[in-house]
Amino acid sequence: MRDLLERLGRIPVPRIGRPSGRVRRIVRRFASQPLNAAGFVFLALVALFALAADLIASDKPIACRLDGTLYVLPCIARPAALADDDNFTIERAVAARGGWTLLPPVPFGPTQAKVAGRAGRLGGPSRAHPFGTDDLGRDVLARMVHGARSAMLVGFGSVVLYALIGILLGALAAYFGGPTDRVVMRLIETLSSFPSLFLILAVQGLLGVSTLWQLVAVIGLTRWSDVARLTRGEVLRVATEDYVTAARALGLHPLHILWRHVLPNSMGPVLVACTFGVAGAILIESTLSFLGFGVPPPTPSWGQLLTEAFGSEGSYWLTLFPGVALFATIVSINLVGEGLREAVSPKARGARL
Amino acid sequence: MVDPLASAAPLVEAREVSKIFAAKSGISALSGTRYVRAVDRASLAIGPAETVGLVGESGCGKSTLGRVMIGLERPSAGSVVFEGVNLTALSAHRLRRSRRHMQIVFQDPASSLDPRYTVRDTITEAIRAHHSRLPRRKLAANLAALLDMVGLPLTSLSRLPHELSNGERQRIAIARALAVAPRFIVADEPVASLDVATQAQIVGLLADLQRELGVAFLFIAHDLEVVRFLCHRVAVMYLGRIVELAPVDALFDRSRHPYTRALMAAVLSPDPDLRREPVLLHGDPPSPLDPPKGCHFHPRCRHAQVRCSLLGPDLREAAPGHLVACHFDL
Repeated sequence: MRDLLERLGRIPVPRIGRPSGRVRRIVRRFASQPLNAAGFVFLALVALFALAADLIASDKPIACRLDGTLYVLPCIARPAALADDDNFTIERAVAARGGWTLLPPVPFGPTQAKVAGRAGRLGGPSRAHPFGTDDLGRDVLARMVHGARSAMLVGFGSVVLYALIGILLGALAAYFGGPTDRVVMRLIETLSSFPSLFLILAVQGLLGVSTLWQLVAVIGLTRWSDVARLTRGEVLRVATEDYVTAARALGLHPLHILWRHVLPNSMGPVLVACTFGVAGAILIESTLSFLGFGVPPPTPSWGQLLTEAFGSEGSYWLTLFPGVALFATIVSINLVGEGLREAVSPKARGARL
Repeated sequence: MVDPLASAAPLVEAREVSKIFAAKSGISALSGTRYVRAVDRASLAIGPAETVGLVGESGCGKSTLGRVMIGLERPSAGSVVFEGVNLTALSAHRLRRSRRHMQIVFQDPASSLDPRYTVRDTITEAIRAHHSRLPRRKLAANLAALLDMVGLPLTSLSRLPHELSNGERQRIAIARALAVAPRFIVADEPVASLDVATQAQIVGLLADLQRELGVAFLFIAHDLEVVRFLCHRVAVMYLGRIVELAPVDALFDRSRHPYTRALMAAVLSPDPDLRREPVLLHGDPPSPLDPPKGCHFHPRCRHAQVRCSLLGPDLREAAPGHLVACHFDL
């Protein structure tokens, strides 16, 4: 029946379905800008390094067969039998006694000091160490790959945490008003009256020994005030739009209206603030690590690497490569943020200022 | 036209409704809160299938009265009765449920549609607000019927508001209002932001709907010609008060309030011979923050006497069905 009508071409039968195609439309609009795509690709690469750091840079092989035993992913599983061996001792053992080994692309671990026979301390870029070695003889590239993990975890983790807190509090304050609004606003003002970096430094100092998750929690819990304020303002603006009044006139539930009409139309600026926030959080993590209040020394982080460059003047590779990685990541995040904002805005027509 | 006055029981009735807003902006915030009486003891009854026009200058409280009458805002005093139920006494939940019998169409169709919702989403949401478990087939039929009613092709279903013209958007807004099968619609200057040709189409559409569906309208407007075409009765508002309420022909033939006369005289007629003697109003409309004492209109009225500045006239029946708030028989 449906087919017949359509073939007759008289009445197109309405397709009833989900609001399909919206996501596809946003993706297409986002990808149509080469800069967006470049930023996204670089960020995806960093994220990939973060997820697969142990496969990309490790002192143990990805897989190997030695003396009749097959070791799968010793770089992650770290079997006791190979505890004392690194890629090169295993390679020599394979050459002497038979078997095979598959080494990771960067055959050094992030905390592996003094690679036997190969690396010196503070060695410049070479074939074995494209990004050089640091003052303990550790491979800088390996440390950067693992440092991406700290950056991504802290960057995205803390922003997800503070976006959730900020959006929730901001939306509730604006939508319900009255006492709720006053309480939330006082909280926001209290929090934002402290300079955030010093607040985080103080909390980190009080809490002492730091882990990455602790950093996520500290940044997440101290930086939601901007998101809350922004969300509140946007919700207040959108709540006066006629389509919200129309939804009220339809008798829809206030929470439905908040969730389906008000929040989606308020999220544009908040989303942008959040992507920039990722960049901010990565910078804070690096700053804290640089100042010695971040992750404790053996854990690799870009900020750590920059600190190590202190006192090793002339070793340009200690600042250049981590610095460029940090810079490129932050630029990419900003590009993606801007691109998303434009793609999500329904009126945007692909124009960029 | 049906004689609306014949039906005794009104569909919706505003009884002595006042709406007061606190104005706390700027300098006035320092000198304490000031209050704006946007609507001042207004009473208005609308019968089933009746269209009442509501005219007046901007800021005179027309829109506020409209919103109060569909329960979107609670009056500060007075009550609104819809089909015998006092809306003002309902709990928030009950009020929300009864709102769907009353709908609103806004002036600016660009902001009355969610920019992220396709036409399909907008109307589906409205249908679902009414029948939450309508099967998909019936939903599709309903969608098609609504679009047909407002004269839009089914191909517009997948359009976003910014892809539509203003006239099309206004049709969608009307379809959304009709989706819940309301018995009363407040049309808040629905054609004021449209160009002339589109205005004519939308007015025609409203007239058709009025005839076919038997919905009651409160038609808020600037344009008196449109009011004359669509409405059975007309209420004239000045600074929050209804100053004249009469059947449309009576109002246009013999308006009894000096303010109404000034409004009428401001209408340009295309025929130069028909042009009425202009009744010029001197002065600006006074600030609603600080309305004149007595009759609100007296500082601008050429018939004003001393008593007008002391005593605000109540609405009285000057002729059958013709109410006017003036001390004099003009």
